Amino acid sequence: MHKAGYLNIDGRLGYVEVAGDGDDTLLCVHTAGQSGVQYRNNIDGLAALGYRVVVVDLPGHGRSEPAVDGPITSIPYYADWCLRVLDELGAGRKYLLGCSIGGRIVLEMAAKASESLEAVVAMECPVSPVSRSKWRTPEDSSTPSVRDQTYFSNLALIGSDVPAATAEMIATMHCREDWHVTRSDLIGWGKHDLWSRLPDISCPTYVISGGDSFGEGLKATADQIPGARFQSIDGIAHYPNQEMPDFVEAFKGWVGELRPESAAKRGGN
Amino acid sequence: MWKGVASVSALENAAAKGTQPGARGFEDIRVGMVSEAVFSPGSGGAVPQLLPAITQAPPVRDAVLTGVQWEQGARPRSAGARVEGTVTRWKPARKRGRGRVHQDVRLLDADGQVVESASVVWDAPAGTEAQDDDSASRVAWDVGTVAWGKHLAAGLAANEAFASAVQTFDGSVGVRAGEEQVEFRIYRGSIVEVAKKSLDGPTFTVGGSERAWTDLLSSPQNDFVKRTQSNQFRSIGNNFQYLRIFKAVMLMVDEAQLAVAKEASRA
Repeated sequence: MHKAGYLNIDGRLGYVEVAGDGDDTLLCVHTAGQSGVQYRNNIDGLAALGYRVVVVDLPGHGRSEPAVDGPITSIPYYADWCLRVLDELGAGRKYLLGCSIGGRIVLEMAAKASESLEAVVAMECPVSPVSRSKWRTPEDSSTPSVRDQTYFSNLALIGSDVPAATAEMIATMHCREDWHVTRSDLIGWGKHDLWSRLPDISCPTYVISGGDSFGEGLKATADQIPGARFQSIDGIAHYPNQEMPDFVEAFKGWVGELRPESAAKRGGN
Repeated sequence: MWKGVASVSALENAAAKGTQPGARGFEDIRVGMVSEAVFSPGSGGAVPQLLPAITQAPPVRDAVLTGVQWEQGARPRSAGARVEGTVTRWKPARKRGRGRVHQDVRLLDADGQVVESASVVWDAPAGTEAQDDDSASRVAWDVGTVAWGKHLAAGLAANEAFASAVQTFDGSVGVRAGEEQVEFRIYRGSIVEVAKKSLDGPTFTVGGSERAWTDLLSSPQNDFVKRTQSNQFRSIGNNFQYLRIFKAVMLMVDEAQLAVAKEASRA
């Protein structure tokens, strides 16, 4: 069974799920508007690799209470919040994994605190030299049929190799979101100014992209990070850890490339 | 490219050699047919490069060019290497014994990127039987016409998901493919009229080029959203209502794809 609980951060309860009891901590961060449930099919496998796996629900997402000031429109805020989670849990050697805004969040954490990190895997999170600061703020009156929009737009973000039943599950699960939170996340994504600080990242970093999504377009982000590795995966799109049946094995390989000395001790299949 | 339909070679060699191809007649034309030819650029590198190749290579024997809409592609300065023509519509002409063939013709460079493209219309000799051809095999591809709209509406009549999606809608949905547009008047869950123009005009219209519709209807999935995100389709008019009944739009695309698939399985 997993352990789960709430951490009081800045006066609000944040939900954290933990699996495994390894000395090394792996923090997993979800995509915009979603929750740690996105890692439900990976968490045990990742724990079997020897990590203490920590899956968070960001403030306002899943089972976490909203932040005091409401929906967050700042990737750096989320990065600081995740660093607080790791501090609260007394993490030893720290590994980070994130997808989409989760990828941006772990890169932001790396730009701030590379010296404390063992390795980072950032998926589907292109960083541009020019941030897009003008996004519409959420208004119920201007956004009809949000559920259908979420469902169909997420189906369009899933790779061509993914079985229809899996794609259906991913898109349906996405419909649980509060779109005010999702929209705020995307505003945060749009205005996130990280390009000039990517060269500050000094910990081993892997940038992963879905071949049916950003594909080779994400290589520029990896090239901006000193020594970073890059891989584009054919037939996969925006949600690699939900789309790839062999995701845990792939993750093990990425970290093995980044930290060969740690790979030998990893278990798992 | 297009699967399940034989490729015609009307353009083959013609662009390079300037010969008259005309290997097939009008009765053999089908939407989605692709012809390809190696492209040999003329002297001087004049722009447009594509037009001479088009005029030398009609898709059917004795066809006469009647219209061209030309535009630059994503790589307008690149050297053309290959010409690809795709039939996007065919229909009887007003004059008996003549037919119209619409083509999307693209000049591609060595990387497969579009240098120039053109929407082309040909007038061709056709058998008299073509004049009255309202067969499902033709109409299923004839997006934006009233005949196509009526077939679609008939298919949707028993679709409970569609009825539910438009249960609270009172308006008209336009569908446009190239220059053809049809409007579906919808009220309380039912399509009550299919017409060239609804009385109050469309609430919103979903439109794309004939080539965009050809590609969508021949896709194995309903990837309308992905194609919309890449600007192959757009909606104009009341965008709020477009979003509100977007599921119904997807179901209309499903039905249009189903009609094409049915005809392909019969062929």
